[in-house]
Amino acid sequence: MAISRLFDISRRSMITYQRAMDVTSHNIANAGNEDYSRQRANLSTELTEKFAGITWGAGIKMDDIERIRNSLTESQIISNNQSYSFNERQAVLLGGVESTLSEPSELGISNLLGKFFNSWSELSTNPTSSALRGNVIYAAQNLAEKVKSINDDFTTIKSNIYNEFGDKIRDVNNHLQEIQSINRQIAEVGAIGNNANDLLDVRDKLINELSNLVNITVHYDSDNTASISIGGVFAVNSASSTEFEMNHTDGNLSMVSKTGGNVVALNSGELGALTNIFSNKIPEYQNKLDAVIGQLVTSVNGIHTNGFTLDDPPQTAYDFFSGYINGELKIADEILADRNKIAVSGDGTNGNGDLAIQIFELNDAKILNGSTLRDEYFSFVSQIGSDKQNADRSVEASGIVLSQLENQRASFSAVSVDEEMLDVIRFQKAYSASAKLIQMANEMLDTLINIV
Amino acid sequence: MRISDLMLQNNFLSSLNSTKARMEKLQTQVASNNKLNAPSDSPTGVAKVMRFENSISQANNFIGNIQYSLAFVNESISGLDFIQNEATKILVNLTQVKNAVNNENLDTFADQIDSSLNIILEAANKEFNGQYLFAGTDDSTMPYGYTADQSAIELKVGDVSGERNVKISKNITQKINITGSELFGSIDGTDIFNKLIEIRDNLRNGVKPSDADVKVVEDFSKNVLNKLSDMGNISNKLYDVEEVIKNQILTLENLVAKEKEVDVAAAVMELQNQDYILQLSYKMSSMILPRSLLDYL
Repeated sequence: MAISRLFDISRRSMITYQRAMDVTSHNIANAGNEDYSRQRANLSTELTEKFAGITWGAGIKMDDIERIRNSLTESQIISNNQSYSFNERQAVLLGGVESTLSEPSELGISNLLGKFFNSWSELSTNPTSSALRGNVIYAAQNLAEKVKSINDDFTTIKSNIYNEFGDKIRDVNNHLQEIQSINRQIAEVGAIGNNANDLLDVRDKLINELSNLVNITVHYDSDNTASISIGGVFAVNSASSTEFEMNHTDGNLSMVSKTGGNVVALNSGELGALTNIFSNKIPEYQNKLDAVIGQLVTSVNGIHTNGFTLDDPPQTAYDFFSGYINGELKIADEILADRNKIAVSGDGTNGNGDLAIQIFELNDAKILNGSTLRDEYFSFVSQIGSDKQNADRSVEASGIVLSQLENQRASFSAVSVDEEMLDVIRFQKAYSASAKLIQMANEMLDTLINIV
Repeated sequence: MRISDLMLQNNFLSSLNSTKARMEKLQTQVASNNKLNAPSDSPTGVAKVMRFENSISQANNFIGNIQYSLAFVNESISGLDFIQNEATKILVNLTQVKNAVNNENLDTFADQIDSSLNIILEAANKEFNGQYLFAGTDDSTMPYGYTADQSAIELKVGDVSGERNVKISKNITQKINITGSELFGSIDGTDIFNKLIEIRDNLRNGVKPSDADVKVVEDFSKNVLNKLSDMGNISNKLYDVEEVIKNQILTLENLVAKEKEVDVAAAVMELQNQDYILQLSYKMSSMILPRSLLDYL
């Protein structure tokens, strides 16, 4: 057995530990990088050699550099990202919707509607009073302004959602293009036998970001590339990516592929939240508010039209509201121009306020779906409050799950500086020992040479 | 379990965030003394508060109506009192005029009856806040007055039978006026005004009033007394309902306070507790996060 083998084994050992140190230093360098998955140098014994009937060990070698990743946790994170960002975006948007109501406060419709009815009750005490007639008009105007402000705010929120929806789709398209490009690089690097660990980190980061935007399904192919579909529509693989665009028909927002027009079934992610609030929630809220205000107009006019004005001679068949059109509650122009046109007399005498009492009594009348207007409005407010509260609770719950999953990922894949430093010490000592071995082998050779 | 540096950072960040979120909520509650700042704070609580506040607003409106009605009723009572006093005076005069010793003074009695008639007419046209008390619901013009030739009294408006109804509670719509028809009947010559004119004129002509004439005045006086009693009853009812509604308001205000108001002492204690937790988290993170094996090599 030649002394030179000692050199071979030690040299191989030094190279191996140097490479292992490279991996460790790469890990330490990325200790602050949240998207980095730690890497591990897998070491094993070199293939043995048989010589003179004896099997000799040949030292150590590095098999590969492994990227430490738990695929189950990763896929759970992708799935929970979608529901977390869906709930979070919904909670923010519903918070905006909720704040438009100004409830509970004196500025809300609840109080203004009460004041509107109360003004009629007050008018009934002295129907000829110009001041009390003015009060009825002011109360109606205040109510109309709040109704308009809520409807305007709904429109503004929808318009913001519309713009954001378009921006986010562009964001999705950018992500898909980047993922396709990285997929291709991963395949190319893999094909020539190189390690694509860092590219995989970048690709996974993009997939995570994409899962915040839309509901995705990810499949990993044997060459480590990812194939992704969004809401049942193919989105990207290593060969191509789909470009999506916004579609707005019949009050509904949707995401469709530019070629083929395939509609994405958006049910989570930020885009899922945007379309849900735009296409379902706000129209539902608007319908409820419209029902309350529409019924108010019908019922008040139904009574008012039978009343007599304060004119001489008294006139009848006047509506109080000219209508509720495009979110605007409008008071009849004749009444705005002449408060004597408020018709509350039931018999034509100017001191009779029977119809004012009847209009006031609408406050407690079950005239909409078997409930009072007030109760229907309260249930509308409660619904928005409950939706927001549910979204908040879902954010909290999915946030806890996501945070646990991220902890699992961090536990598995993130860098521990302590652990890396121990590896540094271990590899450094092995490296030093190998160097020492070369020194000793050198001394042995010197001894042999000096004998000669 | 393997503990990476990222895990430690995430855990600290998450605990700091949740402590701060709790503090933010408590601070808002303490600052506003209101735990219901948005429907999502408690959807059912907010619905309750809106319902209670609506009822309070409605009840305050009823109180306003009652106070207006009481003023109207008190004015009506004062008007009826005038009328009743004059009716009594007339009855005394009619009794005295029957006495033969007054045969020479019939003109004086006629003057006194004329004076009472005008006072009754004045009271019949009494007005409160632009509303004629005894004109039904027709406030367009003074309801009673002399004919052009001053020989009789006539109705100046079409109808004085209208009832003034006011909503004084959810379930009570109260009539608050004594209509002209109820008080004076039809102004057709047989009414109190024209009867008094007839008696006055007869006295001036030396004719004493008949028993039938006296009976008309007696019946009128009785009717006024009855109406005064009715007004008294309405006034009592208004006071009673006002008392009930004021109690309702107190109860409702208590209910609103229960739903809305923050237990400040408990909230401040909790705030201090959260502040303590926050400081502890900062201390722990500053002690542990910067350390690693490197510090000991």
